[in-house]
Amino acid sequence: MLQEQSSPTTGVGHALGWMIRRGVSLRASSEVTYRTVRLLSVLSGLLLWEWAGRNTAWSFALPPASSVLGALAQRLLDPEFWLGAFTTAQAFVFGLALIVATGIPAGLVIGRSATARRLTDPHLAFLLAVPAAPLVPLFMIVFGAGLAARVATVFLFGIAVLVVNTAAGVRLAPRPLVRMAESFGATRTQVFRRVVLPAAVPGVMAGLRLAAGRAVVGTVVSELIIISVGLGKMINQYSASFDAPNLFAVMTVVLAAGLAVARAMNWAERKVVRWR
Amino acid sequence: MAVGNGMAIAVADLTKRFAAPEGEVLLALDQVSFAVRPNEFVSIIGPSGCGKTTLLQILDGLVRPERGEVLVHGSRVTGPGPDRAMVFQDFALLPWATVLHNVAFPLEIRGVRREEREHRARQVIATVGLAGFEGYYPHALSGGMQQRVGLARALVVNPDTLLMDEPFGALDAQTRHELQDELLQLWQEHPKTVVLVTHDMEEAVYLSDRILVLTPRPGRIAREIVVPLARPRDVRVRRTAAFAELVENVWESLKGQSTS
Repeated sequence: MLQEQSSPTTGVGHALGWMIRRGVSLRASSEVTYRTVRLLSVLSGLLLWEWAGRNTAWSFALPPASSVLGALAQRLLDPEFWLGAFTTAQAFVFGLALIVATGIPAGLVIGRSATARRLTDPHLAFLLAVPAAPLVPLFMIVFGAGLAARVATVFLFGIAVLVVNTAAGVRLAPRPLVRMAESFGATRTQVFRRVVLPAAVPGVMAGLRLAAGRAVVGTVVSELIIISVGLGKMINQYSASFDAPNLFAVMTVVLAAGLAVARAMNWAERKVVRWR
Repeated sequence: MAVGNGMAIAVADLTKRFAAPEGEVLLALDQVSFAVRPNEFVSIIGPSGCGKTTLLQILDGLVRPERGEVLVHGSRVTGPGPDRAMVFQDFALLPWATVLHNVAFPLEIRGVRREEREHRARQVIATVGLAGFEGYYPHALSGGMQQRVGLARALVVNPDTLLMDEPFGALDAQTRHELQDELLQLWQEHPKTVVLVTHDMEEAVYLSDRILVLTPRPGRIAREIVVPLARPRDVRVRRTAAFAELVENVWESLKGQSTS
């Protein structure tokens, strides 16, 4: 009556057989089956890649999976690689911290005040829609070709989604709950702290997840376009020297880092809004 | 001020207008006057759109009337106060707070320290039959249990007056009957002034000492029906001829009001 029953975990073979017999979609199948199918998909993709890399005319541009894995292992054992990764991570971490420190307060104010909303709406819409990459060189003029310019780029990429989502979260505080708090004598400050803020948390977390994703892109873009350091520098070098296995290896690392950030954000979101 | 003498609630000449979205002005309440004795159970019944909820919100102090006044124990209502507590139709529970924290919420607002407010909340939670569910979040509870939490939250401040806005309207018939029985028991054991807004005729007869029938647009009190059924009541009273007759009586008064 009180809690949903979790779907029973069945044996993989049993579940697969059941799926085939019933023709059910992946959504309805058990978690185990879903994972198995996903793993099979990844493995067959890698095999196809390996085959294409060995047997087609494009092996120069598309090296076999095994050689990329070899290059990846080499890079991971190379202290220089970790130094570069650290440089890249620095800009990301500082940028995201700056986004959080300014974006959440700004979003709270904008969600609260209609005047602030009217003043900032056009600018936020611009920041959300504009392709930010061409603006990056301007930062180099202002901040110099160092960490500050890269942090500014990360900030530019990620700030708007967090502000907009936080403001939306504040604005969406349910009217009946505000009434309830007022009925029990809550002051304006108490309504804000006890009702509006907690109600905004899902919006803030969603904004944070999106901002982190954009911040990853901003980090890489800044290193690719202007200030060639860190992993971006490696990508540039391997790309210029047509070293496809190493290029793919570094890009795999960037991809894995991006996925890890996304996962961490999803996890944090679920943890914080577990009452949903 | 003689109107309010000895009365728990005295409402005089209450008028409230709303601007409808189309620009026309809607007269929600028109010169409504009535009084409620201490520990009396009064129901306000009427078709939807007759301003019942507005009336209750004015009693609570959430909405200001345009004309007229509300006296609670002789003093004029200017806003929400600790002597009144509301039970909401949609429960209005904080989804991010457990049962315990939802019930303790009004005490938290009043600055009662944590240990004390949780102690009091636990006691009231037990009173409404939810002992053991203190750590649950609202989404894991049935509608009936959620409204028990809503009732406990109102009772935790030990108000003189309980204002109930169609509290069981969102529940299925069986749960509604269960909660009506429990409210009746609770009220008979710990009498309070209750103003219940409802559109359920049997509910009004079963629980009330008196029923005020409200007309729709403008909201006026069309009739007052005294319920002379003996106290304490229990579920058996529902099957008596007197009960059926009273329900019929309320129904006739309501029918007389529906203009559409």
